[in-house]
Amino acid sequence: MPREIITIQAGQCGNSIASQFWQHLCLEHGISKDGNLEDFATEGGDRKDVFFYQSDDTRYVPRAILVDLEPRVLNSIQTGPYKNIYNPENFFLGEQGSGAGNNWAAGYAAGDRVQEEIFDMIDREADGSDSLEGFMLLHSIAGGTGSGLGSYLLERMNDRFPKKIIQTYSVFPDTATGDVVVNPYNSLLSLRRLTQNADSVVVLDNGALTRIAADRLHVQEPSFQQVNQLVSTVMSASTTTLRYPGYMHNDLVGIIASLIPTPRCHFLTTAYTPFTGDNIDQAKTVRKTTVLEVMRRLLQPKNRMVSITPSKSSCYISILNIIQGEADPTDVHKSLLRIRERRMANFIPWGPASIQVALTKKSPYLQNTHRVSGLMLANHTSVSSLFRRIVVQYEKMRKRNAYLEQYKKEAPFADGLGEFDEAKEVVNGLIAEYEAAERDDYLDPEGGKSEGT
Amino acid sequence: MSGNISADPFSSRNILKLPLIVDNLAETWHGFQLDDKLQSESLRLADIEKVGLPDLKPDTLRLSLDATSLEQIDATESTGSYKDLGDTRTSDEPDALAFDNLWELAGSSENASKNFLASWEQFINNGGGESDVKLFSEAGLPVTDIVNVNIWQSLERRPLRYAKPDQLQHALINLILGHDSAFFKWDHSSTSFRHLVDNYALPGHTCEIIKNTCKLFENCGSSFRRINNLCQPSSDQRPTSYAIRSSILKVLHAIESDLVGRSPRGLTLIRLTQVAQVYVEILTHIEGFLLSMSTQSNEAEVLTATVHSINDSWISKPHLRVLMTRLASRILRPAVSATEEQLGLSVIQPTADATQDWLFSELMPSQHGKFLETIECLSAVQMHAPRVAPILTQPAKIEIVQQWMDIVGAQQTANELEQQAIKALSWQMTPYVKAQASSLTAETAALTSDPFAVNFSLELVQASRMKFLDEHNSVITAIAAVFEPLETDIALGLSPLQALEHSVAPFLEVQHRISSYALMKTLFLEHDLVAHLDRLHAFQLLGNGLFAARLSRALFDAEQNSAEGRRKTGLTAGLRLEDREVWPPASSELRLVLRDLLSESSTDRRPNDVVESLSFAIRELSDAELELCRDLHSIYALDFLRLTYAPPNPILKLVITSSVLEKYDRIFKFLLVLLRMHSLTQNLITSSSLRSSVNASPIYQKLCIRLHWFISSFIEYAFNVAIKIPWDHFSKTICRVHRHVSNSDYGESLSLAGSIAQLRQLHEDTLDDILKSLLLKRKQAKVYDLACKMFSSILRFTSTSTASMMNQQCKVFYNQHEETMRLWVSQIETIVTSTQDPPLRRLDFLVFKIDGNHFYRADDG
Repeated sequence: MPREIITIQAGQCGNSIASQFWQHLCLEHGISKDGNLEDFATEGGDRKDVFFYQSDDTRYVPRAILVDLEPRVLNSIQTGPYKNIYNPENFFLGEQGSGAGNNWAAGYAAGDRVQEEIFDMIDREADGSDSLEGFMLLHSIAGGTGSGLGSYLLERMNDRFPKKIIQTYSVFPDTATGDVVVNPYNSLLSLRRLTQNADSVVVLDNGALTRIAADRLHVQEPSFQQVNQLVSTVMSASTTTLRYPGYMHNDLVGIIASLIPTPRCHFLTTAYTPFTGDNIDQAKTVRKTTVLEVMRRLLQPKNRMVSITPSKSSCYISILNIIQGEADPTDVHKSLLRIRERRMANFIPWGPASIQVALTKKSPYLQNTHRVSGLMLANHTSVSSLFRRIVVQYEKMRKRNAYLEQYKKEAPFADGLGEFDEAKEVVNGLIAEYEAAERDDYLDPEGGKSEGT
Repeated sequence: MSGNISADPFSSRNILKLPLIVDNLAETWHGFQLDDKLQSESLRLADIEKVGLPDLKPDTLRLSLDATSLEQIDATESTGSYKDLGDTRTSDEPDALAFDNLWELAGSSENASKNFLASWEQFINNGGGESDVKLFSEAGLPVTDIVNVNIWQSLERRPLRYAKPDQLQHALINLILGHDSAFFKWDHSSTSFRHLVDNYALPGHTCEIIKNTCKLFENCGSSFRRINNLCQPSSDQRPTSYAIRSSILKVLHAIESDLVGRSPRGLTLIRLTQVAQVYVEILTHIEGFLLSMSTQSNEAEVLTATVHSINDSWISKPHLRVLMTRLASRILRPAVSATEEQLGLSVIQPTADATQDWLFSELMPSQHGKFLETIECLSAVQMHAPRVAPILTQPAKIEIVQQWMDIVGAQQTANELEQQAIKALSWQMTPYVKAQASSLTAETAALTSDPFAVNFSLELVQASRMKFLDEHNSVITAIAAVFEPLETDIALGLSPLQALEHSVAPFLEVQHRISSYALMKTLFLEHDLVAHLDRLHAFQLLGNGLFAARLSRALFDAEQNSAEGRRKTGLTAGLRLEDREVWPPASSELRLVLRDLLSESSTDRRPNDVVESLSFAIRELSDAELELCRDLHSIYALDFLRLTYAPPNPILKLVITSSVLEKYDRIFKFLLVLLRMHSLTQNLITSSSLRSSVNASPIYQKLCIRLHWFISSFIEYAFNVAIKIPWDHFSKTICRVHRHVSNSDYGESLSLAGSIAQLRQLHEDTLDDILKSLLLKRKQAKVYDLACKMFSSILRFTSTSTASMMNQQCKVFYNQHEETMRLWVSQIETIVTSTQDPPLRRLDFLVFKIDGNHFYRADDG
């Protein structure tokens, strides 16, 4: 009775990231490029069926729906080394193949047109699952397809699968040097769907990813592939507890329950350490990794995969550190004590909190250069600063009514620009929710830290 | 004293007039010697005329101690030699000679005795006075005899006869040995010797002296006879009783030989008295052994009582040590031989009978544990690894050491034995690559294949027993040693109990090591102990996350299909504990849901092994317990379910004992409760935190957050700390032992594991640590009960609550929970601060997990 997860990868970014993610998963589970289990993969103890199903010829096939409105990335996947692992029936390419033109509205409108075909795929995969737990949407929120079509799919999935978990890995634009000029519009509109139609959003920030790639991989101008490698590493690490289950956090709902206390505060930031590049000498490790070192680094801003600006009052609502490798529980405890002593992490004032730790094993089939590695999934109130930046940028553009014509052409804006306002309202509400979570009277209508005391 | 005698020659007044014996002061003490002056001037009778001395009474011969000041007879400074009796020795010779001559019987003065009076105390009796025996050899034999006769006749009015010295001597010797003679006859009715002849004396000895002396000899003879009777063959043919009786008979025989072997000419009455005193002492001890033995009902008690008595005698009577050591070694022989057989040191197959452990339990308590372990290992090897068993059966004789130096020899023999066994084992225990038939050594093969091996061994045993019987001469030597100065090494030697322990210990140690190692090899290499322990950890301690997840889902997930037929959203079946009305489920339903859980969750290379050894079962419960189980919302609802483990091979029970399995079961039961709580609180929090959740009130959300936090922290602590830390330590040790055993590293294997018993103990300790850390020990009952109270509250809350629950209800529950949490955290803190026990100190982790930001403790402060 696996808790299957269907991955929906939308747009260029989503598919590029997902392509790396599936390669990573294949390597970790000992699945060859054609989907067969490698001869050496006899260890067991892993749960491949969360993300793969076995075809009649026993090949492992990803439970993935590949959606794009333009063919470039999908073609590269179909001609790439791992082309044979995918179910060819799960590729959806827009009829015209012209893409959404970085326009959320175009993507969203296309979604309405193509949704039947896509949901056929989704339903087929859902029916093929024993105990479907939910969906993972991989996309970017700055462009057109991942953002617009992704938003549409989120809404429809919410309607069709109200009880299933929806988690997204959403790549946010680099707000400083966004290459898509309308990304504030797209982001805001997507952010509304992420707020209302997802249970959990793992926020990945292109700016932070580029910075980390430059710092950690020692590459001045990292390629998309290198950045995607970082993302796939994070995705792989964040799903380790699902694929190598332990007593806890062995399903998506378990992770969400640990990290997300209230419905709207479900935007998770990540940090991962240590990063290494496959072919980059400078990135190869020269240090001995310890639990303390890993846990300390996970809290360092430079390792965060989101560019957030914490304020004095910002705090962690929750943290889950997924530690892979040789981690001694005593070392973990010492590390937690050290972190508390040095006040490296501020927690919410309205309840008990500390860093939760999930110890998982590493894939036995991958050469591990590090004894210990760690991923931090954190719910931090300062993520609202990212949303605020988006709102601010949106307002700047909106004030000038810049680039709105393309949006007005599409169905969602056929009745006007109210969609923007609604989205802004939702995002502002989200920001307010995070700000409220920093106060000790959060969830306490009568005020005071503790009820009745 | 009669007043008719004006000058009583026997009055002590004359002695008082004696000058002090102070001349010829010597710088060193040469023993007590009577001065010539004492004899020639004071006690010599002027006329030797046979005249009756009227009114003499026995008292006449008694020296008045009141009148005789001991200080005045300063014997320490007497240096004169006694020459009147023809003694030709000079004063340079040992002073004891002078003493001997002084107390010599008439007619035997030429016999040179080596005994001497070592001190004044030996001269006087226990009461501090002079001995009752008074001799008049100073006055010359005829005078003495006249005095004797006169005294006798005046008192008894009967004639006094003189016995022939050789006849009387013969009779006395017989009397000492408990034999009848012309003078004495054993009276069975009164169990004493009857005097056949009255009114006799020996020249130079009064009748009273003879009587007194005879009393001693009678005592000796009576003891001799009684002991002899007690030692006669009886229905009690137990080896130990037999050994005791035969050993004591040997002592009697040795005494007889010793007495008979003494030159008749040298056996003066005094000498005979001295010898008899020693015999009486020996016989008294021996009789004591027999008496203590007679009060014991079983062989163990007999041996224990006897050996302890011998040991006490060894300690209290240094001059008897050689005899006691010999006696002990003979008495212990059958028990030691039995031990040889038990330990596989006999050519006879080891009996491996741990019930016969009294030699260790009573006499060598420090080795008792090791003995039991060895027997257990040998028995297990015999039963489950018959191929290895012959290697552990190496003939060796445990000789009871007498001196410290003997221990070295015993150790050397044991070491040789060990080396042979290691060689044979390292060769034998590679059956996976070598043919078994050729792996036995020639000797071992002969032992295992020769049908006459038993006959051969019986011959050996017989030869051994013959040798044992021929050793009786050593007892004679031991008797002789009683009369001789003790050798230094014997004097500082080993007490019987020490000797026993030092004799057995090297062999026990070797057999313990060898059998433990052989058993470890069998357990680790043939029966894959590591895999079984991993299996227990994976399933009983939920170390297999896949199993934990599947089990949790099968039991608690309301989304699962009903095994009763109603299909829900998924395809797999579950018990849906929180979503049903009737509980417990029917056994058929239970079987349907859980049947494939074990095999499907197994990461074992041989999943069939998992199914064969592990199974879900319904626990036997009392009516009251069953009633608790029936309540769906009780924390006891799952108590009926147990995961049983049955080791596929009984040899595994050496490490996986029933006690260990019971502990696993307790932990499993508790983990099920935790899993259930986790499932419940997870449902609670997701009911208010997912996008699909209805609008819940803030207080409801807050409560859900608190409850989930409590349970998830507890469960994280339980698995990551309480179970993982002790188990990792145990697992690492086991893996290292496995590696050493696989590499045939005898020394490292044993130094790390110690023995199978230690491995078992380590296993037990690991589980005890886990139980303590999980608050499952009785001592933590208070804290555990409080946790259970919170669990019950959560169950009660989840059974009645909805996200749209009234604020007030939530608030009441919330306040109760927070209050209990504070109390609970403070109780755990108290435990942590008041103990140094590592498993309890680990509760600090729990406090930190639950209250890392001092949320609950801040208010207390």
